[in-house]
Amino acid sequence: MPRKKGLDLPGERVVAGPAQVWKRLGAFLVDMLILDFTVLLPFQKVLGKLLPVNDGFGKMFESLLANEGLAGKLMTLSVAMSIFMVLYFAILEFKIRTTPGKYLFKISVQGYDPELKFWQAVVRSLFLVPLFPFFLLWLLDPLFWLLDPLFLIFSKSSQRLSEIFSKTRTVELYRVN
Amino acid sequence: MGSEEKQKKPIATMVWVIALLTAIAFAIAGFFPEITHSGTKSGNVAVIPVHGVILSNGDSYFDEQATSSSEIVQFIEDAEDDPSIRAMVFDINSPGGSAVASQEVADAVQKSTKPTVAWIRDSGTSGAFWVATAADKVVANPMSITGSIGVTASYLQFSGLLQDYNVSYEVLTAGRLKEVGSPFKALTQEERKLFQEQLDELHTYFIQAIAANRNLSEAMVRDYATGMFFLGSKAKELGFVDVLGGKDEVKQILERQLKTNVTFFTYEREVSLFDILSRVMGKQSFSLGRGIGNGIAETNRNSKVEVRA
Repeated sequence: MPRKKGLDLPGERVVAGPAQVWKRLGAFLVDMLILDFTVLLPFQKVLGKLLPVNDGFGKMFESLLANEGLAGKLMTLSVAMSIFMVLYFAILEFKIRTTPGKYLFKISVQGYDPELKFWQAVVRSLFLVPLFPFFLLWLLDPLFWLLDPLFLIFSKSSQRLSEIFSKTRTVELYRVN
Repeated sequence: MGSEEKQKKPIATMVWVIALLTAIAFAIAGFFPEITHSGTKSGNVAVIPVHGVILSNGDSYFDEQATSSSEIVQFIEDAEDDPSIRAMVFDINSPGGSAVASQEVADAVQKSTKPTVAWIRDSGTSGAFWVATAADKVVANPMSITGSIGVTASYLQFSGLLQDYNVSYEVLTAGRLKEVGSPFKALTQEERKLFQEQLDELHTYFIQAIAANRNLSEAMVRDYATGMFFLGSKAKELGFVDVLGGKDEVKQILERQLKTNVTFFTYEREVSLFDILSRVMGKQSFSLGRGIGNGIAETNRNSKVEVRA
């Protein structure tokens, strides 16, 4: 039996660590693009009927001022759209731990426990809903949109605030020799 | 082979999840508002409600706050195309609205080849009065509020508020008058004059339309086109209204003209779940806005007391 020559060093190992921010951002943009051309497309058509979206901001502003009930319709529409966005992320992350964007950038989602539960997948995407449950949080929501990604930059574990709430993290695989 | 299968699985899952969500989204988006008629169609005269403020892209709620000219025009076209509909009644209870939207409705009423009757209830003023006069016959209650042949333009101007909060408004424009009507600056004398000229032109157009619709002289209509409203009885006296009365009188006019029994069928938009949700959210947004507005107003009151004569 031939003897192994040289040092008997451990082989290459693969470990999961926090995903890099640029990859997360890229993955999010890809996902938003996919959403824009698929799931959100029918709602955009409704939006086009409600608002003169192609006539510039001024016209849209005028429409909003002229139509008392339009704000409510837009709010309903944005809630419906964001529910579908949450479902997109939650179902995919629950089922396969990734989304098309994340898959492209080779990053995935992990729970603190080996098993990722559906509520965790939902909670980590809840920041996409413009209001939940109602207007009090709607006031806080823009603040949350700012806080959520800021946590990513400043937290030691590179987690968004909603990831901390949901006990999940976004990871990529690092090869360690 | 096994690793290939593992790689294919997430892609397959992604494809079916996205396809499923897209299909559901299309189905749900189908529930968003479209103009439809409610009730079982059984009458031979279409009753088309013109309730609330007339807007070109308005929202017609079941509490009748506003109505969309597109919706009314759609109803008129539907009634026109329906061979079982012999005539149209415009059930008017509106203070008017946008000049363009009112004219759109008035034009559609005039284009109709079927007999038309405008039935003014509590009020049919300004743009709604324009619509009413476009019908073949106008019926109003003696106490209905009609007329108000005038044009008004207004907008909120925030320049004082910006100053109070030490906020400046910078804008670059090419075209001397491009910024006319900006809510962030006060009108100059020249701009005010130009605005007034446009309003006067619109007023004349309004007067001419009423005069033509009612076969009256322009000078006579202009005399009463002060913007003041008049009661149905006065409107009848002046020739703006044909018959004083209500639904029974409308029925009598049509039965006499059509020589048949008249049964009414009201055209209404179906109230969808979307409408109900929108209304709830609209009210919330309104309350929120009012709360913020009151807060700002309170701050202003505390910081600056103005006495106006």
